Amino acid sequence: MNTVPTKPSTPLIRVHGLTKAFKKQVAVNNLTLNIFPGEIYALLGDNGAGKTTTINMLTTLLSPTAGNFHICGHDGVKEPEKVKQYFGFVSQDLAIYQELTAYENLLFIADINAISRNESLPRINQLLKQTGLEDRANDLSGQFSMGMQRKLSIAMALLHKPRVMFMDEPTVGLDPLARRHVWEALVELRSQNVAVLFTTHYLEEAELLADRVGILHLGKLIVEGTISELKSKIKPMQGIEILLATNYSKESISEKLSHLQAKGFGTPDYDPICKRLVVPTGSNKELSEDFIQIIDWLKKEELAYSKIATSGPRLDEVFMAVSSES
Amino acid sequence: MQAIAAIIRKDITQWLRRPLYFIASTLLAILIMWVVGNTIAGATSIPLGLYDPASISKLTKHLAESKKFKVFNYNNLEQAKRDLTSHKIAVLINVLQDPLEDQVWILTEGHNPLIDQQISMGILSVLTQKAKELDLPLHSSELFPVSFTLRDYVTPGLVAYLCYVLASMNLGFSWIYEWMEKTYRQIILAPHGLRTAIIAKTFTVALESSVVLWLALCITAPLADFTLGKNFAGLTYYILLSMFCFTSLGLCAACFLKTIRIYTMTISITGVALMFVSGIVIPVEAMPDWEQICAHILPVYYSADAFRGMMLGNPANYLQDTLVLLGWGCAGLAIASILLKRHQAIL
Repeated sequence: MNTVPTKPSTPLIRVHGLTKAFKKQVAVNNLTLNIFPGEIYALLGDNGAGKTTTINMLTTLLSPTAGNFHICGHDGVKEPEKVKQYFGFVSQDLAIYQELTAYENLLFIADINAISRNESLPRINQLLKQTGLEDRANDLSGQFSMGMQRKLSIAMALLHKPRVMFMDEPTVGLDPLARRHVWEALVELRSQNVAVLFTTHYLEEAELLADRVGILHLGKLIVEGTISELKSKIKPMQGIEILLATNYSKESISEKLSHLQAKGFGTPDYDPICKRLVVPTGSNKELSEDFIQIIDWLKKEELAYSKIATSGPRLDEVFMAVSSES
Repeated sequence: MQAIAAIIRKDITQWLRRPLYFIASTLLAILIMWVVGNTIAGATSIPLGLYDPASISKLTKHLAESKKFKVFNYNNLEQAKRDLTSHKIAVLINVLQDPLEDQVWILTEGHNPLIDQQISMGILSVLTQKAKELDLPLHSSELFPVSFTLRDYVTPGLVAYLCYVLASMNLGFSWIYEWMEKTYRQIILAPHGLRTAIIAKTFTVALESSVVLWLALCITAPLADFTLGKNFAGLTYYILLSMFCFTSLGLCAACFLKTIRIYTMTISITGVALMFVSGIVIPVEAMPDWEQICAHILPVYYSADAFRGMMLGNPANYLQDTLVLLGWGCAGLAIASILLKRHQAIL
């Protein structure tokens, strides 16, 4: 359930005017955003939009050209070593030591973060239990499946109880079950009041999990807001969604669509890849009337369908609309 | 300290859990020490034909004692010449008895100047050492008589070369492997992670390489019959110092080269060049001038000098050797630190 949490006044991640310019291009341009405790913020964008560069700057791996950021009140540009203790990072690469066991991997992270054994050993056992790796704690992590390795990498990022979590495409390459486990971990972080910034290419994932979404395009944050705020920006796409049973080409269906338009509907949008037809509803008619007319039209045109429902715009539509405007 | 110890422990655990790598690097060290060393030290049984039907010379005895030649005595000069042509013997010594003056003719086949050089060196050694017994007006002696052989002399240079090889190899697997596996970020995202990694991994690489080198030396010394000297503490000190130097330089190179493929290729090619330029195979004094300058700049030369002192008791400028190795090592580490800091995001 994506609800905007009641925001305390102080964001855990404060970014102001963050810019990174390389020789030939500006990868991130004047980025400003705030993320609050218990908030999941999804940063979306095309390949090359600047998502990974942003994460690299916020995790102190890359020095910004201009601007600053604060994590838990500490300046990340001036005190990079100090902020490291406040955040955890899960990259799209698994980043676990294949020759070490799950337990040894976690113990290593505890030791390099100078966590005492009194603190780290119970914490390791707790994390192994939470991630379901308790029984495999003494197995070499190189023998784990990808989903288990991802769970371990998340556990490693959580070991020092960070208040902020950065995740760079954490579900890439995972099967649906493993992805679900990652989502559960994100939801758990929210409940622990951790501020989460994650990037993803899976827009349904952002739609499902994120409290707020920011869309980067060519290094600039072009739009930001809750899911419903973003969807309201492209009103014309609201209507009735039909999932056709058969794949039709745009050419073969265009004449049939013209018959529908003749009944007073707006220009339908047909996506041949998804077999999805969205018919904009008229503002003056009852929705039930629209439904009846459309079902009649489907029967008359002999178009088989598997689903018909009202729909708002999806995040990918918002993304494509906003990106193309820019 | 906890973080440094953690990285050291982790690296050693990984190293021990890759036994094939450990075995391969030890075998490589043994191979270089044994085979290359014996080759550089020269042959021990060059087939030599001796035609001395009147037995007026005592060359048979002295040539055999030199441990360089296997002597075949001929009664038929033509047969001896045929055997020379067909490479059954590499050299023919023809002792001519003359009423006025006995003569000794040394004949080689002629197409192989390298073997001719070996033969000349061997025969000259016999003639100068045994001049009195052979009743020759030829004398040789050393200002500082030594008890070590050519094989012993070659070994310290090989030890220096192996310091370079093993440190570079281990460094590649320590650092570049972490970059490839993306586990490097786990370390540098910890507070002061970069500094910790540099200290810990320099120590680990030097230690692992030293262990492999010592193992190779202990196995090869009795088999190849060369001496390790008696100053084991000094030898250990210079092994560690050389390993530190080459580890730092290797890290510097790795920061530029970044991938294991290019790194391995570059290190191998450089290693071949270093072997010849640093005076291990050919003495520095026998090289062209520009190569001598190169040799005197490179740390391998000073490492070899220190090892000769420790293993053979040769006079060596230990202070200079230490300062040069330390200087190169610190410079390499400083440059590497800057590059690692700059390239954190991409490594």
